[in-house]
Amino acid sequence: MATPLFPACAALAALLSLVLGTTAMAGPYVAGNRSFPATPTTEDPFVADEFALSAKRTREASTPSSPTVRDTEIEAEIGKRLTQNLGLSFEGGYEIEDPVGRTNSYGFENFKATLKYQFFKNEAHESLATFGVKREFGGTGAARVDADTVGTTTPTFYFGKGFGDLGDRIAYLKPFAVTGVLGYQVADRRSTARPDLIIAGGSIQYSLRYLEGNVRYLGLPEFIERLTPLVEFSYSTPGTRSSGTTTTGVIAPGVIYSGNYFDIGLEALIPATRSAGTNVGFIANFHWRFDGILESVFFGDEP
Amino acid sequence: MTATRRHRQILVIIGTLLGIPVGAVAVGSEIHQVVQAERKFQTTAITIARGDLLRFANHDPYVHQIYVDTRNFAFESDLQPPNELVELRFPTAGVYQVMCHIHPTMRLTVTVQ
Repeated sequence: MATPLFPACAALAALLSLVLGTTAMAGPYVAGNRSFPATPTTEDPFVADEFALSAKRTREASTPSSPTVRDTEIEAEIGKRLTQNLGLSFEGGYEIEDPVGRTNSYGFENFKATLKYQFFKNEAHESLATFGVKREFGGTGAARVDADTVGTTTPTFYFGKGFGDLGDRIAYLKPFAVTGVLGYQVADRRSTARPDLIIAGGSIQYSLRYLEGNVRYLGLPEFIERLTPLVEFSYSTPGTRSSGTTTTGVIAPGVIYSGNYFDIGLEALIPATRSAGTNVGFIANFHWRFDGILESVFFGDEP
Repeated sequence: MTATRRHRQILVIIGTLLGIPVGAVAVGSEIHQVVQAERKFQTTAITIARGDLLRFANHDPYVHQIYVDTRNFAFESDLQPPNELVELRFPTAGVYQVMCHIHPTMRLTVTVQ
């Protein structure tokens, strides 16, 4: 039976939205003079109006009981602020499993929804923190691509921190920023085959735009100036007794190109644990920020 | 009909035939300079006349950028290196926010009369 936590949170969010009204605010990705780009692997700590599309390609090595499997996932997510700091997003995906020498399996992944509330932001220290609850609706995806019939609920803490407040003696470290998540995934029907999971992830990024705009102008070409090299990591490990589920980890070095209203990210996916496979995959991500556009269309421009 | 009104009507007809919008001639021609320094606009609000030139002077050692994004007017400058100028003219009256993609805290309110 599905936990009643998520519907209760969604109802509360809708009520708050009606009471407080929708507010057109600029720059949810911003803390001080720091604009955080949307990262392909780590979930963002922002509450924003956004649309994201990502494509992931991985390859699982063959085992004595199964052939090599090429796996392609296409995921889409749309998020909308209900108030300035409270947002709701929906996420769905389509997966194609291509085992060498066997017939492909394909189908939709489980549907997911996330409610987030940003409870802390410090402009001077370029930092923010958000709490969210993600709900995966078990049985909404296709069993042939291993979509779980058991739903999960994941309370998650998100944060972001830029280092623009470092001293001028180490000014070249100011463009660094980190983001991260820490969550605990609770299965609707916990078992050793479907244990709870501790989920952690993060990014270390270096913004060349921040370097040129806040530390020192180097005259970089605009295309280069818009790049943010980064390394992300993602881990999950059982939080309760399990049989067969082990720690899975991926390290993802890559780069993000930031336009004025969008980000495009590209990363390699390097397995960091045996259960994550042995082959390098990749992920490409497009992220569009449409904050204020709907409000502008319906309510006009606010000075 | 006075001679002045007749002359104006003739001008409008000629302008229409030639595709010249006679009534849309810029009414201002002054130059207003706003300095960008210490990652801020050195004034937070300015009032200008329609057609006036707004000039932004980057006195910072950092790169800047200028943009306006409203339904009736949008402007995106290229990157603005140190000691360079960006010039901007507003075609219609109204209140506009001038911002910088690189420094999200920079904001200038421009009232165009």
